[in-house]
Amino acid sequence: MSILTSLTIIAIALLIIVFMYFMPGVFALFYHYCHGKYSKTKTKRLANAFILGVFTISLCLLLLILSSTFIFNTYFKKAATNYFVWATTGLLLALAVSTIFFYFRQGDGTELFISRKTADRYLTHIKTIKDTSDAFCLGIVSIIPELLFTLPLYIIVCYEITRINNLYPAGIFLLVPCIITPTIPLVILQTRFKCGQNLANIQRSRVHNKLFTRIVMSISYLVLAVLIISLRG
Amino acid sequence: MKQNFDENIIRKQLVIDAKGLDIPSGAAELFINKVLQAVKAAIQSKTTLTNHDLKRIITKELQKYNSDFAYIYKNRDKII
Repeated sequence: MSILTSLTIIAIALLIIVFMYFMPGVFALFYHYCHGKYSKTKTKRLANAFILGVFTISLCLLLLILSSTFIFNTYFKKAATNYFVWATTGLLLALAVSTIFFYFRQGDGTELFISRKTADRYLTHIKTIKDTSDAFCLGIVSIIPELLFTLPLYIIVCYEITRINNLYPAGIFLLVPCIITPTIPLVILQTRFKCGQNLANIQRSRVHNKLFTRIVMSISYLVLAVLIISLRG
Repeated sequence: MKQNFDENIIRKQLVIDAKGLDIPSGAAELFINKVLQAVKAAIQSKTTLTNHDLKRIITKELQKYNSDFAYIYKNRDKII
């Protein structure tokens, strides 16, 4: 039962990460500009470098949080764990409300909560990408603005992985889907571009699904909060 | 915001967008020339041209030839 609960919590957390809009938005713009400037081979190489960057930063982030969680569990034990559960639940409830009201800006596009100056800087960076190292770095930095919404999820995932003691070391292999998850929307986008769709089609579908995404993310945060407080509190 | 019109910058940007949207280069060249002609005509009738005006004129002109092209030009800064 405990393993099943942990797996459910991990699955919901990963579902929310898949629904995030910033990184796929950056990738779609990036692919559009690369396709407009370079050959198909170079575009493919740059896109792969971008995805590799996202994969690398996800791996580093998860390993860092996992090791921190191990230390936390070892030294602070039960008392601090209760505080952790309450704090996480509060944070998740706050994020559920924030997703509805602040994740997207008002308007007909998919402008996100990040400042317009930051968005402009990303756009400038995307336009000036020339080689794979640039694309790799863009992949790395594109995870940062959304950490406000994803960092608690990564922490929850690592906390649940450390709880699955009887699966150790098999529990560590749960890290693999967690690392791959942020790259899934990017691979889907790359496939859509390769299948002949363009940025206009993709952006129209993103705008069309904006409300749905907002509701699903908010409900998922709420469900996660309820699960954690009722089963771990 | 007051905008200094630079034909080359706009042309370069439109060429990249057109190639990104897989519009054939000949057709793209034709669209872009028409758009720039419309912008020049608009400039002659106005004393100042804002960023917003420029975007509106280009989008309106592009809409006549290719809706995807116009959509991307209009919404580029609304994606992230």
